[in-house]
Amino acid sequence: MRGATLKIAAIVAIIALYAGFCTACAPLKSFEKDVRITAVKLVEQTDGDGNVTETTEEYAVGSVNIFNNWILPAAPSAKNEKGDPFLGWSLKKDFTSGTDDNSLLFNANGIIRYNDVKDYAEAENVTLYAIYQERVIIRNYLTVGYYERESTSGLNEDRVTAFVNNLKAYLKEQGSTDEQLQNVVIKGYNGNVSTVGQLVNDDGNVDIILGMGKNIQSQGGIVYIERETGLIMGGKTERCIALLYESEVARLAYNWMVENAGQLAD
Amino acid sequence: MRTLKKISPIISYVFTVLYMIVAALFFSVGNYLYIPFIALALISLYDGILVSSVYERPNELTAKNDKIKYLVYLCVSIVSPISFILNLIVYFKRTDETDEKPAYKSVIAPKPAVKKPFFKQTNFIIVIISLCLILSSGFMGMFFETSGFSVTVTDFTLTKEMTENYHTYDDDVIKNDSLHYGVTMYVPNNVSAENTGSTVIVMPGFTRTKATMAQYAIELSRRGFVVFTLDPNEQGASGYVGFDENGESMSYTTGANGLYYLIDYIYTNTELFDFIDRNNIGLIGHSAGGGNVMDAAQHFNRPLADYSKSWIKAVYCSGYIKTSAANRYSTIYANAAMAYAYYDEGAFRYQDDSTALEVISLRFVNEVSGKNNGLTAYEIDKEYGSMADGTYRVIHREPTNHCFEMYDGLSIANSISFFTSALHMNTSLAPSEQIWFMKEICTLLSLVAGFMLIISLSGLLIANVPFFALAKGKRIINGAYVDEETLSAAVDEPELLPPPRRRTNYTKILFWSTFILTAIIACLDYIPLAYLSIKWLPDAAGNKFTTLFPARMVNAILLWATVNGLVGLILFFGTIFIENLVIKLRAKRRGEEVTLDWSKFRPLKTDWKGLGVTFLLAIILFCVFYGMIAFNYALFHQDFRFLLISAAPLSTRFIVTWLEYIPLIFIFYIGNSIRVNCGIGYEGWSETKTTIVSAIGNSVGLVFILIINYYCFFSTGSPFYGYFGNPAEEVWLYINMVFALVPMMFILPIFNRLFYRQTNRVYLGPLVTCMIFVMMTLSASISFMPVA
Repeated sequence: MRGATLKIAAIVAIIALYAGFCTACAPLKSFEKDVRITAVKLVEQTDGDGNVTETTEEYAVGSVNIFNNWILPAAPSAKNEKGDPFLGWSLKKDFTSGTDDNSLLFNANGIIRYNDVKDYAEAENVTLYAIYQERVIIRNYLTVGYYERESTSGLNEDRVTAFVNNLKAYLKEQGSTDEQLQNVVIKGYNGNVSTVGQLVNDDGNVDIILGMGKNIQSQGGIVYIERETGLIMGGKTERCIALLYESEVARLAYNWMVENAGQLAD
Repeated sequence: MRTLKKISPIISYVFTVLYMIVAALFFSVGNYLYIPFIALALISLYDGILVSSVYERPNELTAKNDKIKYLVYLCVSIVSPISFILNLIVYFKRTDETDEKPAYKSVIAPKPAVKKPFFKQTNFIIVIISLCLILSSGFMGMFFETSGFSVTVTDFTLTKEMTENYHTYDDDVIKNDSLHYGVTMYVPNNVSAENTGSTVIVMPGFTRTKATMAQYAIELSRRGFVVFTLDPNEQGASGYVGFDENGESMSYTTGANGLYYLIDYIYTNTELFDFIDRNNIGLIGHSAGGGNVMDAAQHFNRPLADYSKSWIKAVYCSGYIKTSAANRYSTIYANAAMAYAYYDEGAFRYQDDSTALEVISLRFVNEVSGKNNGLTAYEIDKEYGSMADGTYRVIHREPTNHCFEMYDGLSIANSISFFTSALHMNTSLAPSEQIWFMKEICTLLSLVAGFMLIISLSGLLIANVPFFALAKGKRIINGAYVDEETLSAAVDEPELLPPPRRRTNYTKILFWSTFILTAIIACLDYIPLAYLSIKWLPDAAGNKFTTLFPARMVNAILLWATVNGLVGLILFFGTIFIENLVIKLRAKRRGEEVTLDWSKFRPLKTDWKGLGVTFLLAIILFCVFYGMIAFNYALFHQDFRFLLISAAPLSTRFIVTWLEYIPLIFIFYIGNSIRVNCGIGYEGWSETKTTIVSAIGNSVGLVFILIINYYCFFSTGSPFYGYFGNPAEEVWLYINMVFALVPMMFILPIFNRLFYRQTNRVYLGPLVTCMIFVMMTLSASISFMPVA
């Protein structure tokens, strides 16, 4: 009798332990989930009364999960009926370039990841819309980008900030106002060369980039106007300063940086 | 009722573990719910201790205050619901507890052993069994490695001189004298100059030796392939690349980690390697080795630009998708397969439009023989192109992770299928018919037997050789010295022995708090210290040749071991100090005479002579262990290993590296021995309980690293420890090392305990284990030590 009671107690204990563990884990994230993605294009239709209605037309279907991305389809067409160019695929139906966050926009033939769509999924389904409009780039007075992977570029935030502060002092001497100098932006880019290249191109407003190697264009896909190579930055050799956008202040800053690149050497 | 009283605290402890696991899971996904779960774990633990103390001393419940205390403990046990129910049952069924056992059993002195002749002693018998096991499992390992002696396995060293004499391309001559390569060759017996064999060269990845890829060699050679495996630069039996004219380190992966030199040498040396079918050569590599085989296929085939003339006809790239060149795949002019583990932890680094696995895979099937197929999508396991013209492509994704992909049966089967077709091999064996794991089991037995050998040999020497008996201290029972005469008398009159130490709730809570604290510290500081090892030892981290801690990956362990060894020692001595302080204060309050308890320090007591003999004995045991490996390797071509855990024959570079690492890492080993033998060993527990608690205590922190990392990985797709710091540094590879560290850390306290029982001192265990485990860790990794 005593033995039977103990056995029952043991079984109940094991079940309760398991149930307790599962209950405790309930608020935890669940494992792998597939999210179905439907890429659509918007089609405007005019009825006999001249009323314009907008309908969606399925273009491609794919899925993602935490271990699988989806390669997005090519643009349905280079331009829409209105003549606007294809900008990309967006999770937002009325995506507006320059206003909405670029993280909602994805390149044709690029990838979309689970992390991109997880917050937009309803019943494990999301829709991607083909966006047609001109790209709007919001420019700062001056935007200085740098390759943030210090083990490769030799640069870190402190080093670049100190360098840009010296640059600001120079620009002030050259006539830049305090208000303008407050709009000098430093942006760090991390990842391998091609990732950095893609991020820089997606942002589109970097005037000068520091710390990339010789493969800035071949691997990184960053088209520059002019560059200075063979520089030492933070002890790393063969680094470069590249001018990506031609403006008066960008040119002035680029020339100063090339002349004073030694400040970044140690 | 007594059983319920025993079970209740145990269930509380189980809940403690469950709460800690759940806390780790929340922590891994950045959810602050982990804090209440840690609190629940601690409450459950401490309440279990308090409740058990009440059950152990029922007579103390007579006072009203004690009854209230008990009720409070009982109520708090609600955090562990099952314990709560059991406690309620005990409470309401409480009767006079006259049948309770005493809280502490009286300790009967172990009977001093009557000395037998050495050949009848247990240790001697174990020595003999261990030797027999090493030899027999070595023989069986050879049996499986040679596929029942149907394949001849031989090692050779590829030297600069050899490549100077045999090469087609000038680039394929080794430049520095410091560089040479350890190569193993598997030649099926039916292969000859008349009946040449299709050949596959197998390339291991970063911090892996050729022996870790033996499974491919075994499975391919038993199907008729000639197979070569190669130790990459600075790893295993290979040398280091060296310095240029300016004294700067040359690229540590020069020659695609030696693959260029080996291919050109065996291809060009038609006299020695007349049994190779030069029209059917293939390459396979895993991880960095996958990159090397793609490089090599390009290196040899691109100048010819014609599959029919290609040296390399088939290439299998596993676990590597990093492409540093546009049109990487179109110029390999060979049939090709790519495998990437479904759960590869490194994939988080490749998540954009140009580097993602999906993009690379599409390029892989599109970029073929200088053309682009124009496909817009691809399918896993679908065959593209044709084997006949070298345009074949296939992509596999096996459900495994990065470091175990090379041990995955499906992954190996996929590579066998590929090479069988691509290199025109006729075989009746199905790809799934694999025997390589039998060799792993044999070498595992050798490893276990090797450890058995040194432990029993140590016992044998101490018991029978008066000189080595100097390593032995007096026996300590219940925290006091007991000489052999007292012990003999105490067999009949146990009261002659000192009374057992009484553990109070306070000391129990202090003990478990430090136990948990050390585990949490060990868990949380590993990756930050790995990151610091990159910052503090930049030469090794930057793959430069250096004499200053040159083992790049082991540097993380070096810092971790040093810091945690020191933390463990500080906590150990700190808790003894606090315990004694409390005793002093309590005694003072009661007006009693103070008797401070320093008994825990007694296993530390020794003299220079004893220490010297212990050190000598440790060196002898180390030499015997590695001597047996060398002997076993010379005789059967088998080392001691199981998958990623290995003890391989010594090489000069790694001995020099080892000498540098030993002193600092020893802090951890001696710290562990002191905590196990002076701390946990003094809790008054049975030997089994002491050993299990010690083993868990030493490894649980690392286990939690894996729990945190992989829960995050399986719920988000990115490992918790992927990047570290800002700007981000890659640290994900350091987690791979934890897989091998966990079993080592689990058995370390067991060894420390075993050696302690032989010597009654804390020194022999850490000396022997530190020497052996550090050498095992180093020789299975990479060292940039500039010693040829």
